[in-house]
Amino acid sequence: METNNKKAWLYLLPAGIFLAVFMVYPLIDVLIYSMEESYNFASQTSRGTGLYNFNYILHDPYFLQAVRNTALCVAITVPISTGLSLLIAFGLSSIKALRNLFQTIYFLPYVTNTLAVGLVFMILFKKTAYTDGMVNLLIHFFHGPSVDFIDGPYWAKMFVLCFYVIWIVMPFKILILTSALASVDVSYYNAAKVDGTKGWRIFLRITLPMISPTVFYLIITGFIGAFKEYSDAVALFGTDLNAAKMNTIVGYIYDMLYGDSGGYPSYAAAAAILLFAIILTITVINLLVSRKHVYY
Amino acid sequence: MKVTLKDLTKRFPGRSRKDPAVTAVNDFDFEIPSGELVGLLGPSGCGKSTTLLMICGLEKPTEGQIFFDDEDVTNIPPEERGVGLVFQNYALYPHMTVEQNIMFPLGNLKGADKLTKEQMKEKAKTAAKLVQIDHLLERRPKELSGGQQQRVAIARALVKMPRVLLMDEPLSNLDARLRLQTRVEIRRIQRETGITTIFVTHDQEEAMSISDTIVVMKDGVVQQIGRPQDVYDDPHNLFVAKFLGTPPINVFSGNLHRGKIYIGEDEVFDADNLAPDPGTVRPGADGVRKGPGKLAKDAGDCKVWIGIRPEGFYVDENGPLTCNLKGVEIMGRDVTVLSEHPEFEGETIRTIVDSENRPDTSKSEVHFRVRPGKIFIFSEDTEERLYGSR
Ligand SMILES: Nc1ncnc2c1ncn2[C@@H]1O[C@H](COP(=O)(O)OP(=O)(O)OP(=O)(O)O)[C@@H](O)[C@H]1O
Ligand SMILES: [Mg+2]
Repeated sequence: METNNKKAWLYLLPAGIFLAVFMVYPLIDVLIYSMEESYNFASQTSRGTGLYNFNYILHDPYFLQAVRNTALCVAITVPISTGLSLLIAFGLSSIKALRNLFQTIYFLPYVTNTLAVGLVFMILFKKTAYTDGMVNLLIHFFHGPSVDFIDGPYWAKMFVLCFYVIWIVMPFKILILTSALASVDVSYYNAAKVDGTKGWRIFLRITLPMISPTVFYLIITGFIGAFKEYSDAVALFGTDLNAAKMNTIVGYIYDMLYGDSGGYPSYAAAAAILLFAIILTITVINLLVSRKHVYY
Repeated sequence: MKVTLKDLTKRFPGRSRKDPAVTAVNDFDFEIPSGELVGLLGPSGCGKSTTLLMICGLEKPTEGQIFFDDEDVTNIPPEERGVGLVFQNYALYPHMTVEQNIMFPLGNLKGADKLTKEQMKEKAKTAAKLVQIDHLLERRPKELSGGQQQRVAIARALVKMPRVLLMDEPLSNLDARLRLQTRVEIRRIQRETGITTIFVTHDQEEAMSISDTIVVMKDGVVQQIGRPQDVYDDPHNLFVAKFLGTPPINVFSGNLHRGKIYIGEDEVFDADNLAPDPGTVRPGADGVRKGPGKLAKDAGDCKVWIGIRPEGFYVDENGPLTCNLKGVEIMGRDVTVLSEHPEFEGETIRTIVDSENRPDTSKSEVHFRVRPGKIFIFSEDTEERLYGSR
């Protein structure tokens, strides 16, 4: 028993060292940075410790904008992408003909390069000297006014961003949900059918609870992923996200470190700690909710 | 509710040219009397589940009809047939409590039949009482033993008071003891409710012990239907004889010669003691009478299979059948004698004798005599029964 225990620790050691060096140490370091006022990389000095950095970023309009954008993006994309994926996965699992074809089609965005998808979105939404973009052509067709989705009003840009994020994350969710649906034993459905259960009741009372662990997994990872949103915004609006008013928290952290306004590791660290705290809170809430509603 | 299957056939199409269509159920034509417990019995893959699924409506027959009493239900969807189905794996909804599981079918009732929550709870309670799990209503299925889960499944199938109760190998997931206990329970529940019940199993002992009637099947074809004891005492063919009974029947290859039955050189039975196959008075499934008449002294010589039940032997110094003694197993009152014979179909002949009748284990040979009524003669090529002893 004793030696077994030692062996177990020995086996865990490589992973442990790896985690310590690349996870635990940086985490602690970031926490320290966030508490040090005006830390300077070059001289390795700071002016003092305290909550100064947090105070600063919480009053920085760019940070507040980034938080607002991120929160909006999370609140819109997570429910819609999860719900839509569920719908499509359910549809896919109930058709027989051409299922593989449809599965492939829905999975294509996942294996497509982000920047290539960005290009497609440009064609769809961007106004150039030659064209207003495909979506505007569609709007014109219905006699609507032109909208500039990339450089135009805030809501239009937010719409495109959310559209993009939903588009990007759905294939993975559909894939996972389709396999979750496929793993529900048919005898449950047969039992329900013999009892004369209607389709929607089967879905709500049997299918959904059975795949609830997967759904919650997707919601939790969806929340985390959406809070870390950054690259998609860059793909759409370029690197100067502050100017476009489309920055996200991760974007703000990046800017503070390397952007034009870069060189402020303390602010970046403080923002990172705040992001960490937000994600942690949301995840804990998610887990608490899921414990009530997931049956395994 | 009487259930009638008429020329019922189910063919599954093959997937490719190499994989031909499977006839899972071939031309079933029988009637299940109202209020009986019927065991569908046969080896794996013989079409038991398919038959059951056709009766409950989850599977559509390729040909033929199904009647509940005089009503043709062949094209009626499962929910309108009024059947209860207990699945092999129970299919209890894992996220619902026992009570919710049992109530679930009631929640589907519409219109005039719609029940209030209290009425549903009441009915669930009654069903749970019937299967004696009313103290477990708050539990989840995974917190129950296999036997308890099985009862929940039965309660769920019973709660709507189905016209027919169907069970697909309901005991196969239980351990030997629980299986014994639960099959008695099933019998009791069936008696109490009087619901016509069809019960699928591949365990002959199970089927024999609780069924009013057993239907023995093989490769999608009904072999024999009857009261368990009748089928045991009067098997129509070698398959049925071999399938029923523990330990199984002992089959020897032998000869008919001048009205006598030989195993190797040993004349084990005399024609005077052989009755003709009851098939001569019983029309077969095809309506044609089977079997020859009484075995005549001058009947043609032929090779046959000779089946002798384990309890059909007794040890006798001067007995005609000589076997090599391998050992004895003493199990209380009875003794199992293990022996060998070159004409025996398997490895070891198992015979059951009284303990006073046990052979002398110091000898290497044992001599048997055969009891009347326990020996059956089957045609070597058709494996149909030719004669049975009186
Ligand atoms: N959906 C199907 N498609 C094709 N063939 C099938 C299908 N269902 C069953 N079969 C075939 O029909 C035959 C009978 O199957 P069935 O499930 O009725 O057997 P069973 O008697 O219940 O066997 P077991 O005791 O193993 O459950 C088998 O040969 C099986 O391969
Ligand atoms: Mg089966």
